[in-house]
Amino acid sequence: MTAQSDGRGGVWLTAYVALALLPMAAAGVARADSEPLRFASELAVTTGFVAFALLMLELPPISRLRHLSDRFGIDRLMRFHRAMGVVALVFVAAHIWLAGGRWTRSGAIAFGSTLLLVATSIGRRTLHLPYEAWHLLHVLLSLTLVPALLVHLFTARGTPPPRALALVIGAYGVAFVLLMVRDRIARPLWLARRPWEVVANRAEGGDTQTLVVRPLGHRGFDFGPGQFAWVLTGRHPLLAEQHPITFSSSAERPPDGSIELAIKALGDWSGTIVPALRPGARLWLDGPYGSLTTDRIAAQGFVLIAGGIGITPMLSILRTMRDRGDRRRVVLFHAARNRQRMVFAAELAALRRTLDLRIVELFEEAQAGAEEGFIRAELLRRHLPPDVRHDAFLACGPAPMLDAVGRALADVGVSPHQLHTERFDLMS
Amino acid sequence: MNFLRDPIDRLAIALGLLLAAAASAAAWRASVPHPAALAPPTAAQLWQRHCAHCHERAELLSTLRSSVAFDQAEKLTEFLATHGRANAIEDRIIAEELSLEIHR
Repeated sequence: MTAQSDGRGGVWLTAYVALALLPMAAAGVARADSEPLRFASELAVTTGFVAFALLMLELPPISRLRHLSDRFGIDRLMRFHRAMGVVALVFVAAHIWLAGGRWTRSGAIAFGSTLLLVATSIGRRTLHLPYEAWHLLHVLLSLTLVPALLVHLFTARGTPPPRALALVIGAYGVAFVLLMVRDRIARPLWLARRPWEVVANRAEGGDTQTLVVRPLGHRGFDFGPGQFAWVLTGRHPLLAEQHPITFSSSAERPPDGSIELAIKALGDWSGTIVPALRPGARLWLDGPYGSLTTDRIAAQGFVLIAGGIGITPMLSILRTMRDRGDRRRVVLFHAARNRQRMVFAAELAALRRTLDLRIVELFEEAQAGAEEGFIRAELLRRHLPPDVRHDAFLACGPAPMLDAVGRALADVGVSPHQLHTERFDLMS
Repeated sequence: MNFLRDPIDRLAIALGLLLAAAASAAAWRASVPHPAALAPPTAAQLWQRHCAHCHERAELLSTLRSSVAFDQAEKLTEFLATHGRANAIEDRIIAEELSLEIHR
């Protein structure tokens, strides 16, 4: 569900702004009796406190807090995290410039860490940084940045901050440490006691594998069709690589609690480690997460738009509708580069026998008997049912495709509130 | 301006501008002296700030009355220049107030 559609996004945004301004306000109160400085010097102080709060607020959106991820979707939270990181860097730069270039060692370390965090995230692909190396660097830089920030705030003026301000700053530091411990230590240790076992590993064509996994010694978890889990592989969850993977199986799980995950080879992990997983191999699932699920959307029918491996949440939705005897109308726009790259086409065609399902195949390269090109308004007009005012539109695929889908749907008069999206490449 | 197509980027820019406006407003407010601070402090305020934590007023006035060294405000101001943390103007205000009371 989108933040805009349920009205509570405003509450979260208000809370975010309040937390971004709280240290600055506390500093203002604490310094009320001090001699006023000139405007530029006061602005150096206020931008510094806003920069501090923004940097500390970078952690919650990516901390797998279920309230946040279920409401906004993990891809939006990741994009928000990245965009606000750039905003924080602007405030840090303004703080340094306004302070007249007076450097402290802790301040220089904090600035260097922030700059590297933002630069390596924006330029990861240009720098040819593998995801795993980038992720490790990101964590290490964060663990350098936060202590440096706290030391800077406590020592930059030569005297410790007043008690009330110190308490506010300390609370942000404690919250950061608690979230880090929860995500990096407590949760992996909890997951270690709930392993999953690979039952089968099928090649689906189009560089895609389906992993069938079942819970070992526990009942696993229920999920909504369209949701995903972080898949952890390695010797122990504390040291494991983890990647977000959408469930492709029905949310109506079989008695053994098994779950299927469809994984396309997009990098080292998905291209080499996943295909090498044999039956009996152990892994861990941290989930479910995600807002793109039909279980939370009230609609008379669905229009599903999938690009590439973005078909996996749609497959889970359709398999779940089949198992639940759900006969609501579904139109599926299934886009791929060519027929060879299109996965699950045969099963989707078979689902038409049990569901009220219409499939529109769309290829970038011309294919006999199929639509060609990208999602566009003219194509939607030809294939959409006459009245879709009470239908929900779910789209999953690469960012450029989702941008095009948003524009095309707006052109045919679909309200933005009807559209629910998730980008499968979170680090694009 | 490709990044502006993403509503999340537009939201981040809006939040950045809002926070910058708030930081500027707070900086402007802090840089303008409080009206109370613009008015010179009263002798009573200065007594509380600089003297009251060490001296009992009646006792000090009694001591000053019995001493010829402090029978004029100028002499008292001169002494205060080397005593306590008040600045020269504040010393003068405190001295004049005490001198008035001594001779009352």
